[in-house]
Amino acid sequence: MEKESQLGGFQGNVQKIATFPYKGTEDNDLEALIQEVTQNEKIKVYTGAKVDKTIGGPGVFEATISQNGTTAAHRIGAIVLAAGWQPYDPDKLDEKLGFGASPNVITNVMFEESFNGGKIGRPSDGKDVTNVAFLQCAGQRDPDHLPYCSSMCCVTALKQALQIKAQNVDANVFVVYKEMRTPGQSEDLYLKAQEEGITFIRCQSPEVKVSDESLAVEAEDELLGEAVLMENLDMVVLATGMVPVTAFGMDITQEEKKKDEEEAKKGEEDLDDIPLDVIRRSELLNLEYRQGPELPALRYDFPDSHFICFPYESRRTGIYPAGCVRRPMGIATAQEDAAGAVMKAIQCIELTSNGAAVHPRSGDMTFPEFAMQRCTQCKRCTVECPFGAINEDEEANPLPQITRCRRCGVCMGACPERIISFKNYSVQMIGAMIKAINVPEEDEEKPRILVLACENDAYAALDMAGINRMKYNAWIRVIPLRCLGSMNLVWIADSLSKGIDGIILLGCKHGDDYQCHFVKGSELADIRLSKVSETLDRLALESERVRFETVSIIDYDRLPAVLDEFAETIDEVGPNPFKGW
Amino acid sequence: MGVKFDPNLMKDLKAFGLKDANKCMHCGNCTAVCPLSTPENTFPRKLIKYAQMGLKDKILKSPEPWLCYYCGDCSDTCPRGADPGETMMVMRRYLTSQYDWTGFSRKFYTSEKFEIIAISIVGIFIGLALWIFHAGNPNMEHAHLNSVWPAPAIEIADIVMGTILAILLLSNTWRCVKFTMGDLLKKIPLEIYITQAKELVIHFLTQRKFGECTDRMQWIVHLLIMTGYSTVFMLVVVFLAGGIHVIGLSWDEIMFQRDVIYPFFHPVRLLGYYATFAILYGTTYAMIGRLKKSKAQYKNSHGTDWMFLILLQLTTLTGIFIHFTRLLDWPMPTYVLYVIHLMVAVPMLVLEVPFAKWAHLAFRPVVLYLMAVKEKYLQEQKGAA
Repeated sequence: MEKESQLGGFQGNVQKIATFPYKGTEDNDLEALIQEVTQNEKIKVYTGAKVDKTIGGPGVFEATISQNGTTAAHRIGAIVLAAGWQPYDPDKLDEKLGFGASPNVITNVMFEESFNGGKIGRPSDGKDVTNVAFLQCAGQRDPDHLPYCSSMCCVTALKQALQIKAQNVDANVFVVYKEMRTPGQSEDLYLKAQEEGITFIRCQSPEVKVSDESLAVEAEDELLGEAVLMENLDMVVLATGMVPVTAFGMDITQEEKKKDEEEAKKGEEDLDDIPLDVIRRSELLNLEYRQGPELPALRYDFPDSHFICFPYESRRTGIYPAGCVRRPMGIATAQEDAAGAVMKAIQCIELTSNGAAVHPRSGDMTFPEFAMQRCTQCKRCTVECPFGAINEDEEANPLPQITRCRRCGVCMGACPERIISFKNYSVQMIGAMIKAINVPEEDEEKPRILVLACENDAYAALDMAGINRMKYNAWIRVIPLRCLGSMNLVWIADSLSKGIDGIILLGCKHGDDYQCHFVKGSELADIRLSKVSETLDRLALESERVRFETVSIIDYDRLPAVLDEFAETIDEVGPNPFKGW
Repeated sequence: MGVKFDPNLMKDLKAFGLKDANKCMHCGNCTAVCPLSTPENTFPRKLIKYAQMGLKDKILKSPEPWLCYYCGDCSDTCPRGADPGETMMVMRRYLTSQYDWTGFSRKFYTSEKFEIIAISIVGIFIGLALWIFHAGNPNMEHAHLNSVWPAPAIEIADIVMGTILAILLLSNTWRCVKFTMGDLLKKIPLEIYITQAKELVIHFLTQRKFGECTDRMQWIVHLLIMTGYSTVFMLVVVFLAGGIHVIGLSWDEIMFQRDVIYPFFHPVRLLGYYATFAILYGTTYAMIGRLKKSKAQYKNSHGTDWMFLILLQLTTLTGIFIHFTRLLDWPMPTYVLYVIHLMVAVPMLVLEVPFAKWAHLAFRPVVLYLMAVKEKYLQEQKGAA
């Protein structure tokens, strides 16, 4: 499915590419790749098309595709979202960089577009270029513009500089950089550029000076400790960065806010405490999901999941972002990325067709069952599900979409009526485990502490502490949970009323650098717990009795100290007054 | 107004043997690892940047190339294979050519052809001169050099050559001093120059700084070559000239090139043996190193490096052979070897001393001395302030 009239995207403008093994520039053989795709009978290509609507879930997606006024519907197993990027708008750049002041100040994207296949000439009159400066990080790694590094502009500048050198050996090519970032093997391209005699100047803030006929760049060279003046430049190329296409369009949470303000008087149940995902109407997937029409974004509007632990995963099961929509990258990485995302998609189709869950609980055959007779239509499950797996009907009844479910149990933890359970994991099961814990009498002076630990990281960290023969307080009893997000508040209430003196929840780090396998589980648990302390106060119980701690797997060495310190606190607070009731 | 980039310097420096400097990404490992680099005079990275940017004036003012003894640590440490040590060597060649006002040095360095032709011409000229100007009836029964080329004539030629060389070398050294010190040269009181003079002698004789490098073997080899060379220079140029009767200077006891054979323990003979051993050991070590490229400093050999070693070794070999043929009292081989000896030795002195590698014997201690002077001066300034 391609939006433009032909396949290839931005790469269609590119004449030379920098890819493995990065020993120099290579011809961009896009035509052959397009041929391969269009001639493969298993691939159906739509160009100049748009996805009007996507409904269903993995294995049972229904996509409505419109092309030239006609529409076609397809049953789809999984989706790879490789919708790409847009260059950062150069008009927004700092005036110091001179964009717009001279036609000879262009961007790296304009460089590709203007010289595709032809001679590289001065933009104003097409004359030969002999003095060219490349200014890196134009509006990048800059909190006022793009705060992130687009990771491919350094390599692109090297490639373009080499193209100029290949055209004219005697050309003076300058690359003014903040930090030269050539990840992995692309370092070799940097070396190649140096060997070809390209001059590198390290400067944090170069200035383009435009006068009637001449173009110059002044840069404070940090390695020289002096300003360097590059005069009589024929062309200045600004390295503007990549913005994912998912960054465009109205954020639906803003829409909701407006609506909420209008409906504020209706006095619905308060769901404001749960942070909503940023979902923009970027018109890519047009999902008919209760939670919004596109993938929820992480930082900087990239719809990624945790990029180290779970590459290609998004927070909509069966939809895998790849390429520059996931994070900025060059062509070589984008190709690897595509392969990775397709692998994920294949796994997804395989597992889903067997009725099993996908990553991270791959192969889990159970799914949440809703005892609908008791549902109060509170919407907690649909709002809290990190993967948008539950739709709603008009009466706000949850409509679980089984193939979208990752089996984290967040809905189970969220439900105040406790009507959601799995065959092998339910509120009653954990409740029974808690009930089975032996609680010493008050006069035994042995408090009892319950640890509810996320089985993915915190429980493993406790294991590691054990393997390392570290000691922690013996008052502790541990129950592992699928995800801390599946923690139902009734367990806290049951534990306390049973006489357990303290409860500590061990979950993954949340926030921007979250480590939660289910993205929001530990954050939701933390939010739920914050309400418990109010309840505790009301019951004349000390709020210190319940605590939330974030641990990652490498924190095992500090875990015993955390637990011991908590035990001490509980000892000070004294025995639970509900003991023996 | 900032400095301006000059693309031509890198091209120019290539002729001086620069190969890999453009690979440098300025990580600074070389400077960090260098035992001789100081906060006041950091190198080699800075010089590589100057080269890359084409900042000729800055290079001209830099004392750093002469502060480096080329132990090779920087080149071994370089993650990029940019060979910073070689760049420093190139800088020394380049500076030698810049100090030389005749422009001869530049040609010598930039054209191997010119180098070989120049040395051949001087060699052949010396050969012809010796062939043409010799005494009427050489002694063919005993090896008596004075019977073919009487010492006084050689002595006069020696004095003439020595004077010309001294003038050239001193004038180049003066330019070196002027460039390196700039305005400071006249600001520093004479007193400091005089009190620090011992530094000049110490650095010349001991090459103390070289001892601070990690590779001590290089220091020893360098010292051997230097002391051997200096000894023989004293014997030949000074003592020989000391024998000039014309101006009434003569001290027969230590004269060189006399037909009397000194007893084994005569100081002149012992010094001669030491010099022979030292130079042969040093040059052979360096030549094997350069052939095998065994160390960083031996990996890149410029034409002038080879020329220096070959001429030095040939001079020493022919010199010691003359000594043997005289001991054996073989007249003809002695005379032939003598001609060859001078055909090698004279071009080496005439061309290498003021214009090429030999000149570092003057520039390096002088610059080290100037740095000591400058440091002292700045210290005093600070104390006064």
